[in-house]
Amino acid sequence: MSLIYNDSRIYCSDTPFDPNNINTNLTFPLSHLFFCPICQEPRATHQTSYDIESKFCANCLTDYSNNKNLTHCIKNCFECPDCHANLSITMTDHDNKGKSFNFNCVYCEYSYVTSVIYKPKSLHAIVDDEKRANPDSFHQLCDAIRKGVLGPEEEKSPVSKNIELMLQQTRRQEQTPTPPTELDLTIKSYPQARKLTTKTSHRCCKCHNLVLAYANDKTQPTINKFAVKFSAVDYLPTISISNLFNGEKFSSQVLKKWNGTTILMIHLINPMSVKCTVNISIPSSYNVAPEVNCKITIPLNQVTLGPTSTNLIKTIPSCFLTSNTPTGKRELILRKGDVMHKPPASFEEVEENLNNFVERGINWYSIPVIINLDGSNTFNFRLPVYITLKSELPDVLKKIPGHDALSVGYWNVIDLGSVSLV
Amino acid sequence: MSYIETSSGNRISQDAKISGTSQISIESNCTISHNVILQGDTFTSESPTIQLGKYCYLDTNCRITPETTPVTIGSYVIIGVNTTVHSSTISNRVIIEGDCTIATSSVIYDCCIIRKGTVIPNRLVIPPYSEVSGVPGKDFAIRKLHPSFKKLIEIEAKQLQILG
Ligand SMILES: [Zn+2]
Ligand SMILES: [Zn+2]
Ligand SMILES: [Zn+2]
Repeated sequence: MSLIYNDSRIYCSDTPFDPNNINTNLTFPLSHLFFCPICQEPRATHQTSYDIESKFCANCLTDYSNNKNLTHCIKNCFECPDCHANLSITMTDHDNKGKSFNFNCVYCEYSYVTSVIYKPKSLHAIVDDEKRANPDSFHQLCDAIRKGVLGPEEEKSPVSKNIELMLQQTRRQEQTPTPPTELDLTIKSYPQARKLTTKTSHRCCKCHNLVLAYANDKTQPTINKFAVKFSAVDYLPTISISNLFNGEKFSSQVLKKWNGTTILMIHLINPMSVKCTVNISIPSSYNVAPEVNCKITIPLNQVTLGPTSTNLIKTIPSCFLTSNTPTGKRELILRKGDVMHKPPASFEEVEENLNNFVERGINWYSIPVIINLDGSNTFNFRLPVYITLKSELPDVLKKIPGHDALSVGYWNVIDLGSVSLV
Repeated sequence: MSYIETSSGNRISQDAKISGTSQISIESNCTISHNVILQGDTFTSESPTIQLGKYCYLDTNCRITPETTPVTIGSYVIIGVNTTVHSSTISNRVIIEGDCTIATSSVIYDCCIIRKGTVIPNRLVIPPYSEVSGVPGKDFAIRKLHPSFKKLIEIEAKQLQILG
């Protein structure tokens, strides 16, 4: 039961959700979302605005937060233009106190040797000067355009001058059908300064409230402390799917061959320290795939999930428990007792007594669902579930004005992976 | 296949290949799975050559081989199937998925996920809250990881210790 590796994605967009045509570009794993406490809605990064709060070089840990325009490290942190690995730098002495510098990639074959330098200059200045003195075809073209437009002769407007240049070019091509001289397309690559790492604060686009802000200590850029942090994983339940019984693992990565009716288990796990009521609604019929009819039967639509616990094992639904470790085995025996040693119930038994297979724990529920698929096709099966969550305010949200309870509604799409109907 | 359990809650597979045990320090609640290779004797040193914090989970066939400097691994670190870690420093709450290579003198800061098949070249520093994928020169990329992963990676590591 992983909170990181599961197949639920939350729909985040102002465009209304269409279960018959799910836009997967607008669904995100719960772990990637913020939660706006004012709007009481999950927020994807694209639904937030951001400000750069600080920036630093990960390689030398220099803080550049006060240098507004810098995007790259100005110390000797160079990376390979071909593979982005670090460049090691060595120096060679020459006659008349001359020096040259050698850059070698620690990972690939890339190397670069500067010309001999006689006056002290920063490595960045040396590389920049050499780049300017020896422009590749792309930079030559840029230069030509820049000169064409911004040239010193003012008798013609830059626009007409450029048009004239272009016309000349076209006429020349018409007159001489000989192929144009081939451009030298090799772009010489120079050592690159390392890009800075940024820390950004985020605000909800709708209400402009902060959903993430750093409590920054600029002397230790690699330590991240947050002054404000509203993550969706702290409020919204994790929803995952598994096979009915533990033992055989469910994987959305594997092609499943189903013959019409399948029973799976949906699990809902509450992350909050307060209990919550969750309403689950699945569209009674929707287009799963062309020429496939889908009917879903779920024995209950509303559950109350208790508060989470620091005793981690109690928060794991039984389906995910294993007897690989003594702790796991002990818990399984405690929960299942004798049932563990009996053969699992047959398909028909489960189908007829669906309610008996509902299981609940301190902060979770496991609910069996019957999935009836009719047709013949191989398709990616996505199960959209509309979740309505209601609870009293968890302590962290009590400080936020405007609400006296938590009430959230959103679409959660469970990706079951490829299914082939046989 | 069976495991040896230590008083500090570490579970070590009987077919893990561990050499130089006197130079290996494992804090508590760590899992060393089948065929894991821990080479603590690649050089001699007063302090440990391989150091693991608490709740580390080393999956099947992964390999820790220090060269001339130690491998230091913090707490809540998951190392996937067939991954090789050379001399490097890995902070707390890091997931390194399967088939990765972490080269010498690289540093991985807190709260990072290194995706399956990634190669981290020598001396590269991965800033906190990063998601890293790919092979240098081909498709290597470092993206930002959402702050919620601090809690999630810790839970993941603790769950693996329970579920095996
Ligand atoms: Zn730097
Ligand atoms: Zn390179
Ligand atoms: Zn908002």
